[in-house]
Amino acid sequence: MNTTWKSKLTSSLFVLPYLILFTVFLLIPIVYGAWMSLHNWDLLNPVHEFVGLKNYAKIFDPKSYVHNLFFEGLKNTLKFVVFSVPLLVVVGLGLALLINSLPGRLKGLFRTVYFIPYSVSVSVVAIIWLWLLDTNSGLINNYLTGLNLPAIPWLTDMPWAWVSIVIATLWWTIGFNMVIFINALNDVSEELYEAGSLDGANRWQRLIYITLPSIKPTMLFVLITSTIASFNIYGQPYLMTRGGPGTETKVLLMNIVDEAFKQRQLGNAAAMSLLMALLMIIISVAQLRISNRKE
Amino acid sequence: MQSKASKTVVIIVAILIGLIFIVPIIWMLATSFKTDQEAFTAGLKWLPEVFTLENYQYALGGNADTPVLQWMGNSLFVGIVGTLIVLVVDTLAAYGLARLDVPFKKFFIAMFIGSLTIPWVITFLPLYMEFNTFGLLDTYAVLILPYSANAFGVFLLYQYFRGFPKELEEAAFLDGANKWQVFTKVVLPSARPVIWTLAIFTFMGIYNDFLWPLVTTNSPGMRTITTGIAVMQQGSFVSSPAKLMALTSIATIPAVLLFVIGQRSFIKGVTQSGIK
Amino acid sequence: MNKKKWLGVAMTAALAIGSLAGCSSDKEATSSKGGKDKITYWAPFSGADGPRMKNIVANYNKSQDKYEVDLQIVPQTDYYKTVDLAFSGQKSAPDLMIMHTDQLTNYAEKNLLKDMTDTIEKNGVKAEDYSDTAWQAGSIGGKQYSIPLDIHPLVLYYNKDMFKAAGLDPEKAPTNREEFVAAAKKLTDESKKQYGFVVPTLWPNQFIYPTVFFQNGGELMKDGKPNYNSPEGVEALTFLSELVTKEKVSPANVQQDGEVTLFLQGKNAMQLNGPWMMEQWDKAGINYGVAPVPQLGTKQQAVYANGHNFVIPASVKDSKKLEGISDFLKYAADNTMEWAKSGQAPASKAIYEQNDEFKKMVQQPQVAKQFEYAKFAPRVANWGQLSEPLWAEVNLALLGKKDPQKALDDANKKAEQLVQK
Repeated sequence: MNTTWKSKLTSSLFVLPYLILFTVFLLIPIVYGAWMSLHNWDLLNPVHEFVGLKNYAKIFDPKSYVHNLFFEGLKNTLKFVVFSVPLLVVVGLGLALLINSLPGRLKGLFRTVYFIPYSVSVSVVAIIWLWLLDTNSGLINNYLTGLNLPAIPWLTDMPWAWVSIVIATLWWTIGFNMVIFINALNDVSEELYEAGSLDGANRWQRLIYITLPSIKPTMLFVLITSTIASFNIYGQPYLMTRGGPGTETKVLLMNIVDEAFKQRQLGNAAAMSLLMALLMIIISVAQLRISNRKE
Repeated sequence: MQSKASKTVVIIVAILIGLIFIVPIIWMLATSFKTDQEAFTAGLKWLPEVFTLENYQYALGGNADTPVLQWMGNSLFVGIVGTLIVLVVDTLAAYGLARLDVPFKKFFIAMFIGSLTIPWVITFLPLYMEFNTFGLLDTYAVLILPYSANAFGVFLLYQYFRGFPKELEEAAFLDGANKWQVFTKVVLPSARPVIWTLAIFTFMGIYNDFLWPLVTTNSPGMRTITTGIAVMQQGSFVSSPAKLMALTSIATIPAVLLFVIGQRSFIKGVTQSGIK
Repeated sequence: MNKKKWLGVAMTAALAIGSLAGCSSDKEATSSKGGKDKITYWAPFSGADGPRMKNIVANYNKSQDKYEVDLQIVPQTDYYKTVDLAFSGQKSAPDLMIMHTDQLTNYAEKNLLKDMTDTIEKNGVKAEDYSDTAWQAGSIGGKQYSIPLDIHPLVLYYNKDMFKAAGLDPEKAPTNREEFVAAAKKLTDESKKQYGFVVPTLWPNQFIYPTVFFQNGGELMKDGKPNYNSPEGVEALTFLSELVTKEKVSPANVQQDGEVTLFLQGKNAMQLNGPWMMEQWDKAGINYGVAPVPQLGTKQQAVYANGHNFVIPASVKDSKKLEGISDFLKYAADNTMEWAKSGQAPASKAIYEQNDEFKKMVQQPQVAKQFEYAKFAPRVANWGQLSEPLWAEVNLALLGKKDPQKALDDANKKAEQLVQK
């Protein structure tokens, strides 16, 4: 009896450090955040009046400015998700297939080259692309005008602002998805392919009927991680377009940060964060469900 | 199986795509050696007419506004310490949950794994206020500690430890070793590849994070390289493309070199990360 | 700073081992050094103006041995976030700080600033010693909450070489709308991609648009309600957008800082910007001229301005400290010539009306010429928030995506929602 008690205690010590960090930096903030969202929490006002669910009601009240902040931001974030996620998955897979069809020695070289941008940080990515896409002195517009094509307002006109942001994002992160796909492709058993070629399947058929079904779990993983990452977009529009033209690329996270730190309305901002998180959870679960049902 | 012609086509396509990834970086380097004036009017000229190191001197010149080296040092420090903390607490917790008689084990496992679905945005503001309450904004603590609550590592290692053959541990216990000794002498060494994977993911996550360090630091000396550059871009380096490019080059070159050297381990890490 | 860093490291280590003890015990007391009373002073001068303010403070510290002013520069981008945290009581607030004119109402109405009337009387700082425009900005509800440092209105910068090349007199800047448009047209040469006045679509429209609005005789807020879509406002926005579409003196779709870039390249002949840009033009070696903003509106001469002011947080009560602050402010008022070197025009009459060195400067007297008719942001607490939709809609109108009337109607609607909350 005494020994199991002692043993349980020593075993608990293994979990304790993480449990403390988990509590202090995750559990307490979650509860604290929910608490904040129930108050009229102005940073400059020492009294935080309890308002119940009023902050949430405001988000759903079309007459309130918080409604616009949330739903216009959400619309822009969703636009980015819709534009970027399919490309992140398809281009990532495409590059992986390309690398795999290269002769052995070149594989490593190109994999490294495609992967290099992943090592730079978002501010460097934004600055490099801002400079390439500069309307007046940018390299890309200089080439376009050199070819007697009209210069493109990459950062000030729609849909170009989104195009620019998506291009920069792809350039930056696609290498990661590619590497994951390369690994998955290497794990597809050779026997399946051999059987496929015996049946006279061409390359395209082998891709559709053998490769894709075999790497389905990886596809799902990439799909969900890319969706979550795209939902969290902040740095690229913050640095490249500052939300413009107008507020067309002002994403939800930018509105939350502004509401919290510019307008000092932490209650509203906390309610907005909570709803955003809820939405992300629902979407990931839905993606899992849908792909499992197909099976 | 492939014809020679199709092989050549594939290689050409690969090279063209490779250019897309490389050209922006080369253009950045090329611009960083021009004067600001020339950068604006360079058009399509890749090589600088007047080769100048002035931009680098300016960026590295110990300017109080742009302590670039300190920013890089901060990023490295924060990334390394943050990663070490994660490695220590996560391996301990994962081993405890996978093998030891921890009370309420099932509850903890469910809670930790469940937390993986919780988006980061939910803790953003409350964490900020929490650190503010303790007066720890604009310190290393705020740049390091929040990352330690992530359950990804616990989950990853938990799965690994469950698959680890019990016999080895039992043999050690029979030899009279205690839990701690078994953990450090038998279990940990075997888990080296998984730990390495976790280390890389954690480090990259902390090193590349943008919004959190941007909001929680404000003195120039506390910035990470990512946020420091962003502040310069919106501040004193507006319309000084060449100086800005020198700054980004300084930040990029070591990262790229480290990455190219370390990428084999990184890729191996991705393979072993349990991403099936 | 260093201490803080190590506190952070120590905290990290402490927490990592799992101990939560020892949190706020060893915070240093802000004690004095060598018997001097210490006054902490926050300012957002992270640009070219930083060294100037540092000099003023250093000279003051040398000039007497009773007080020690400790200047802490917080970068502009983080300034009000940091100030807010200080005021929210969770970080120690400074004894003296700089505040922009458009922020004064907000903090004063929340009772966060000290009424300086007594302080002013004691140390002999007088309203008459300052530009009336600047002084009045700090008087809210019959109390004086601030002492002005400078006013920074919009100014006109133009490229003298381009003026000469276009056959214009480089010493004569346009002064009204007709002259301005005529000059801009002369300076424009589409084939060379050279423009008379590149119309910015984002910053600094926060200065440009209100300037034309005021010159039309309009008001941004009327009876506590947004008044963006008044005829004066629509006229102002129509004028700016027609510079692109009708007069064609500007390219379309100008991106952030595009007008600055083109000015540096010698492809934009005129631009409206703040006096803080001087250093950048000097560094780039452009042969430029400065002038008051021409009367682009239809009714009157006016210019939008912001300003830097000294304020004291309401929490500062220590009478010794207050004396020190008064002493420093008195010193600063007489010694802001140093401040002028950053391109700014100090609001102290001793400088801008009487100092010969100042009068010989190129830019600064031009800035000071506009003091009399300069106007600040409307005095409402949440102007920052109320104006957000305006800038977004002005952006859309200048990019040609919305008709000015429609844009301003939309901006007004959004701002009205904000007023109601």
